[in-house]
Amino acid sequence: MKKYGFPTLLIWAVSALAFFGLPWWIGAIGAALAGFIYWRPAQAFALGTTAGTLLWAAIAGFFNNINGGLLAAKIGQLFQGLQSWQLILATGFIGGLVIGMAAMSGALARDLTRKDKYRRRRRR
Amino acid sequence: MKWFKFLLALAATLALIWRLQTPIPLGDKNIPAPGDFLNPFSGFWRNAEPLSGPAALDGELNLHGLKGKVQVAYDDLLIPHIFAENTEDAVRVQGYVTASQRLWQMDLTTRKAAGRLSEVLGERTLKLDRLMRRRGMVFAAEKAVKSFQRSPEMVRYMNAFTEGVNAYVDQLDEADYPLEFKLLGYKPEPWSVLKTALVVESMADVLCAGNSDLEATKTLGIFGQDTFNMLYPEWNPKQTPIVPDFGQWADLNKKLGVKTPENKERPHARRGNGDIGADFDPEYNKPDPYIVGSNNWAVSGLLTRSKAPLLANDPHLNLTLPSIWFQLQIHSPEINAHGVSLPGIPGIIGGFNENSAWGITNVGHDVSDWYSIQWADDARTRYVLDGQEKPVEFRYETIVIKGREKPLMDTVRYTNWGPIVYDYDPDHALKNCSLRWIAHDEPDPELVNFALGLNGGKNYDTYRSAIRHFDSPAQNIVFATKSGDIAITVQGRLPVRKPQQGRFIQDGSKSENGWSGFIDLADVPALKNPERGFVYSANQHSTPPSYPYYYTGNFDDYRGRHLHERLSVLRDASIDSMKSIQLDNFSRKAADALPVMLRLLDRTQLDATGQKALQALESWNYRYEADQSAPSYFEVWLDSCYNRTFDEIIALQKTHKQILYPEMWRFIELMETDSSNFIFDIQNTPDRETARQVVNIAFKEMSNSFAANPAKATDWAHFRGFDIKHLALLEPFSRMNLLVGGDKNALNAISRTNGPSWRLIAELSNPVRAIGVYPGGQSGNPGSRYYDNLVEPWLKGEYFELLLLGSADDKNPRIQHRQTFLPK
Repeated sequence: MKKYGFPTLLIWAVSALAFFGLPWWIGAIGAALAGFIYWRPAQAFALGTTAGTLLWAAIAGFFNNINGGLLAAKIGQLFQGLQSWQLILATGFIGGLVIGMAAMSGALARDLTRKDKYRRRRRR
Repeated sequence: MKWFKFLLALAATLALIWRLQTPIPLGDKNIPAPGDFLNPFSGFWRNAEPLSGPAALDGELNLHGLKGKVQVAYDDLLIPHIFAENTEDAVRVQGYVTASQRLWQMDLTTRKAAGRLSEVLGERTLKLDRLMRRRGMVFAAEKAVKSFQRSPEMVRYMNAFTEGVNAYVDQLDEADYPLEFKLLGYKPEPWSVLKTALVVESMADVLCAGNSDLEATKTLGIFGQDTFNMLYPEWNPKQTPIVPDFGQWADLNKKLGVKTPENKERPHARRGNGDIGADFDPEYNKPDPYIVGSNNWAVSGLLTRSKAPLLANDPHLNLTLPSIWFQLQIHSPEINAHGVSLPGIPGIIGGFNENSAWGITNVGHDVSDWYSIQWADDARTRYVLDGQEKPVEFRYETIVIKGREKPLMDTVRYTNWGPIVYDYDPDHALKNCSLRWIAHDEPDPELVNFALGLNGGKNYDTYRSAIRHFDSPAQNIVFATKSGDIAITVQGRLPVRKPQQGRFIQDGSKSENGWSGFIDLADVPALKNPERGFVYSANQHSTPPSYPYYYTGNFDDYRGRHLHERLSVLRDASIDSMKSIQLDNFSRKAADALPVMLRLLDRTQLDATGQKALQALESWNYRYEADQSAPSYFEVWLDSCYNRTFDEIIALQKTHKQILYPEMWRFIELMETDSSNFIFDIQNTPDRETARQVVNIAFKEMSNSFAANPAKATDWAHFRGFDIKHLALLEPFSRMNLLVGGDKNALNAISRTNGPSWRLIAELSNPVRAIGVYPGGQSGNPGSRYYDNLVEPWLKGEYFELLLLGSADDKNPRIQHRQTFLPK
């Protein structure tokens, strides 16, 4: 839970602030925090990307669903004939990339505060 | 190393976010910033409306400036029914609800009229913007605003509407922006009274800006008077004018000293230009073969089954998505009306109320003339008028262009006639000419009372007093009441001209060449309760040549005649018979031309394709039905006949650019009555051809063209094609390749991109009932089910009952949402 659940929830909660007028990349700040507090760099990238992709794709999928795919079909045609699911995937990909990179940056920032391998191991 | 890794990751993350927030240039277009556009919090996904309709149509809202409570009930077509305690409140909420469905359309329409498209679209619309500025669109709109300010009542209504729109705009989050703003990467801006005036001007641009003074002048110069008169007569003897002569003008003719009607010759029909949908066509003045036109009529109770009058209207315009019309009901102590509005203008333009119904068609008189200017100095700062030098007035236009650092600064010269539109182009034939256009005149200060007055209309007198506020673009306004009156008025500011004045470019150094005023409203053509039991118009001539005043313009020759034929035989008419007239695909043009062409055709040497075409044509009933091939054969054949006959004119077009083409009715008349006229001679053959040879050569050309493309569908719907395009011409947001019958010369006037933009039929019974449909949907959002849900029913010729609710609490089962606006 500590490794997966809390940081993921943190990322999602901060990301959701974008529904209330904050910029869409606000989730990146949440991800950086999550990376800083909970994750090591490689882990941060993998778990952050997963959390971001899931969130962005799920929300896109939700709107696509209530809309019966009407708009995504039209937008897909505007961009080289993409299918709805490809648009959802592209959305997830962008969200995942931003969140993953931010989480990794956070984790790397945390690394700056660690003195050496021994002390880090002991603290854990 | 740790620092390096961290900084690298941070930089990469920031660069990624920056990249995702930046639009990607692609040629002269932009792909929207991927992050802004795709993110599910505020990007395009937020425009994916629930299938049940837009959220937030229920509940309470506070609106600044309201005096009382306003309730809005939305029916199953998303038509708002506004119930207010006073008309000002109703207009305020009309602004709000219109904006909530059509904000981007309102922005685009006014941007186009104001010459401000380049601000958001860049270089590609610069030519169009510049032309709009130079043609004085903003100049005209500014004058209109000044005029509105003279009426305190108008100021109240205009401000209420504007504030209503802005109340909606102000509460928008980025996520709520209409889709096109997100796609094109710009933000909505506040509405203003000037923008309402720009919507009025953009209608004037579509409906009364056309003229062919240059073409006529050049053609007259080349052909000489006799040939010109032969090819371009002003009056079609088969015409059935809107107001016939039953002696009503005898006194006026005597008073004005008009002798013969013949000196009021009419010129060719001009083609319309400035289509609404041709938004991004920089070749603004290019002739458009698809003229705008419309039908309306009213039938007295004497001819109807229910003994109640019937009224019908279908304005034909360039069809777009979002649709040009927004439908609504307005209910206040003074008004209870339902119909269509133009997004941006308060009130209902065409519709019905508890007592009456009304509808419009375009008048088509020429109200746009060119005057050649005699300059007094080389710098063109002074010009000569009546022997005296006058200073030019300068107007400075600043056109901001997206992607360019500096705006384009343009100087436009104005003489007493109007703007010198084309002097920036040294090769333009009109570079030394001023444009005198009715739209540049100050409109009636109470212009909007035209709509609001009709909306609250009770009888013939209120109709007349409402429409007198309407000057431009002149409209044939048909009217019927529950009490049994039917009427039509050619309403607008119609210039008084000398015979032939305005047909050609005129000498601008003499003020006597100007219009000598406007036809008195008492003398404009009008008809009330004629004995024949009907009034009607289809953009044909307003009157026969015996009308005392000379006018010239762009008039229909076929729909009006057929409408007259249909209405003349009406007995026991019902709503269904009105439908059958609106949906009538019969073409008077084909019925006039085809028998003549078939008579001249030599049937002995036809190949298989020719035989097949002939068979279809001989059994054809002149109806442009979707599944028939005969209309396709006929149109190609007739076009080919026309082009072969006027080969001289086509050749001149190449060398002289602006040349006048004879009207179709005159061509058909020549084939029928003067088949050996020299014009039928084909220039590049040694023989002297007559209409007979032309018809046969053209038939061969037609059958060859079909034989060469055996795979091409010949049925009319496929052959003609029909599209309803998105306003920014984005294909996925358009409805392309729709299959439907009809033709621009049939009453069901569907051509490639034009057609009946609204069909209304009202029965003036007690209570008044009405049906209607338009080819679009109430929502302007391509992500809404209500964006184009009316297209299919419209294609099928179906109509919807138009609800005239008695109160906001009406229990009608079609009501789906209820919204309440309270004062803030």
